Amino acid sequence: MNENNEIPSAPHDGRLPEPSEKCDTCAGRATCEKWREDFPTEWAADNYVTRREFTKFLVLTSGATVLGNGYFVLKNALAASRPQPARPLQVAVAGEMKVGDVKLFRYPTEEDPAMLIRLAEDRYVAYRQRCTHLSCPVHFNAAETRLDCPCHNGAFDAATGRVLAGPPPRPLPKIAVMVADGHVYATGLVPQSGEGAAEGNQA
Amino acid sequence: MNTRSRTEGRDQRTAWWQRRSQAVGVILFFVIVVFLIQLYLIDIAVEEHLAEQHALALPTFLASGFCFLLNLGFLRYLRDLDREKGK
Repeated sequence: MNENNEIPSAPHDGRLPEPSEKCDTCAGRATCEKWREDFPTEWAADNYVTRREFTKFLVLTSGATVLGNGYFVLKNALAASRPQPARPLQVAVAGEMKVGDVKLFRYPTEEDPAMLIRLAEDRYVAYRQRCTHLSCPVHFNAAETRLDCPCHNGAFDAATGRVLAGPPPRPLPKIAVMVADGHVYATGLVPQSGEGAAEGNQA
Repeated sequence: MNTRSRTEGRDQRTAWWQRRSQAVGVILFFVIVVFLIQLYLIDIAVEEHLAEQHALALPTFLASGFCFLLNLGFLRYLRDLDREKGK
């Protein structure tokens, strides 16, 4: 490279070119450069995209978008064909949590984060930890007894799971809790209409 | 007389190229509009998926597929224009 950041020029046949015998690719330039003959495309032309090429690219991307939509359809169909039965799961020992404590667990499958909250001495509630807006994890706010979603400032009532604020469209899915033999068990997902029946009391 | 007919022929060719150029621009505009609709559809599908709702997955897929076919039709029209150029 020379001081002008140009590749050193070399005459095609090994001798210095006369101004009158420059090749076509070097026409209009001070020196005749061999590499221009090997790579005759200018930078400006190389980066030039025609409207036709851009249209083809958009149509290709349009096809990729359809595949993206198809992925969700396929995933839903596969999930529907393999329903996961909710089995009882031991979540905690009754005495290990203080009032206002939270314990995280996964229910009904390993891909479903959930949280158990001790609201009072004899009252446990459990919810799925995903916000019903865009699946952000919700956190227990003990001071206000509510579940906050930090993504879009959504809030749920910790006692019932109903929406208090923000964009979530539905209550937080509730998990039925049972206390037996000194242990707290998650026993299944509560249908949205059956709120209030999921609170676990000390047996 | 001969010069006049040559000039008319050149004017006709120029007008044809201008119309063709406009057609390519209009096709590109429609493709962009349809593509933006598809982006909106996939945005809906993603939001539904994250909210663990499945009601709109199939309708958005079908609508997006229709948009893709529409885009393919536009691309085919463009290809036909190119072939016309070659004749």
